[in-house]
Amino acid sequence: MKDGIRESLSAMMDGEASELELRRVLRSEDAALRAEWASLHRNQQVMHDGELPFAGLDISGRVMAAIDDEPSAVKRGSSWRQALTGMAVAASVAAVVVFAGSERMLGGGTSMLAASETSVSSGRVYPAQMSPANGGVPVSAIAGGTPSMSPAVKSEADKRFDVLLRKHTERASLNNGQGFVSYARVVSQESE
Amino acid sequence: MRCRVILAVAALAFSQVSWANGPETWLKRMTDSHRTLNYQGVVTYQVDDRLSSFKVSHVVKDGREYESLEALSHGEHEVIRQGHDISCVHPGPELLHLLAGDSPEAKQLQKLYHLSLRESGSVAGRAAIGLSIQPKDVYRLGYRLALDKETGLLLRSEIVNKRGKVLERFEYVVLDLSFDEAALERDESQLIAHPPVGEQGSVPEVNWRLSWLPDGFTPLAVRDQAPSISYTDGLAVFTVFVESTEGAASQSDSHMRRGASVSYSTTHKSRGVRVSVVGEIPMLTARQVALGVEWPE
Repeated sequence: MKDGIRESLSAMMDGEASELELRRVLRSEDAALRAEWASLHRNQQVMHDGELPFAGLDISGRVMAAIDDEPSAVKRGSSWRQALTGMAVAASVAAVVVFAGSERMLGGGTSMLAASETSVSSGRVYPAQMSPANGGVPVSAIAGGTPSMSPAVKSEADKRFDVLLRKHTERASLNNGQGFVSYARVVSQESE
Repeated sequence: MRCRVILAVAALAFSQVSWANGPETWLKRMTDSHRTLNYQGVVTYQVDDRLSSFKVSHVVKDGREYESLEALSHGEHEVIRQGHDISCVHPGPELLHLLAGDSPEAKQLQKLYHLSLRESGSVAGRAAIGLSIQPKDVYRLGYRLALDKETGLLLRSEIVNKRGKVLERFEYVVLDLSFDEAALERDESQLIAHPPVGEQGSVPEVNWRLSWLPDGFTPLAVRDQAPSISYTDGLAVFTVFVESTEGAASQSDSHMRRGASVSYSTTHKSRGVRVSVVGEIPMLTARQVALGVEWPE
């Protein structure tokens, strides 16, 4: 897999992919990459309850079609148009993603919708947003505000993360060159 | 006038000295100084617009390090203390020491990161030198550091992703390097016992292995022997946990993020275990490592 595309994929995982990067990944002829994208997308759904409702579905084609239907303002170079189109693309991608996930949403899950709202408001595209809980927002900032996970699962996941992060930090603080202040990562959370 | 010229020459000479040391030398000074100096200060930890502050104290007495970190915000004051033998060598800094020398490992660091020095303003009232560390691949994060010109102590650290977004920032706002060891109120009962000197630890024995590891990462020899393995490239550290799924709330893949720290978890149903990778690395790396855990037959 090419480094550039790898980087785009990394940005998608971190919820920071731009429209151009999304296009690059989806247009890639690299089958492994497309599979990876589909897998990232599915992860988000699986997180809900461990079931895989659309296991065989690769929605990348539909997302791509939605993007292509939008007039490309990128070439025109007008920044407000770019911004508007960015939002339009985000919205249409969101529509496809929401469509793909609509069956699940009837069951009460709203993670896709949450992701699409983020996309529209920021003018960025987040179709592969795979964080079930927070969409890349620090965990601490979204306590109690996650629509996609039940509070019990979320609280359990947070606790688990705290435990593992503390164990990790015991070793990391001795080895990352930053030293003892690394513990702030653990303490700041617990002190809330 | 003459005074000014002398001052200017002196300043120039001083800055020449600073710049004469390469970035690798500054890295080495950084890893040494935070363990060997006596200091007390207030450090802030920022993730997005969330800011927490801590009182940090560090003294060396009779060859042992005493440290404490006390949360100043949020009302609750958790204090972490530990006593630590100063001769104790840890693989991460050791790796950086090797990297700072003329060893083959020195070339290894340059294969992984671009290092460069730059001027930096003062931090916590102390003249600082900037050290920028940019990864050459997508599997690790970047660092923008400000080190104390006089001692090499880390004054500010920003961990940034590939797009330059600051994921978390540590910064001293107050720093007292004349902190006296007698001023540290020590309570031996709160000190974490440290294993005898000479026992340098080993990589824990496990029944799994990684089919993929990013370039430059090596397993850490540790003393705790918990059944998890930590890996470092000298700067980034991540830990792989393999645990029973019994009692787990969720079996599906999940990931969490807080500042620069992420975790990615995946379940291997046939083995009844959940693999979690936790560390200050990009999510992509955590995921790729987690999915690459395998059990040799």
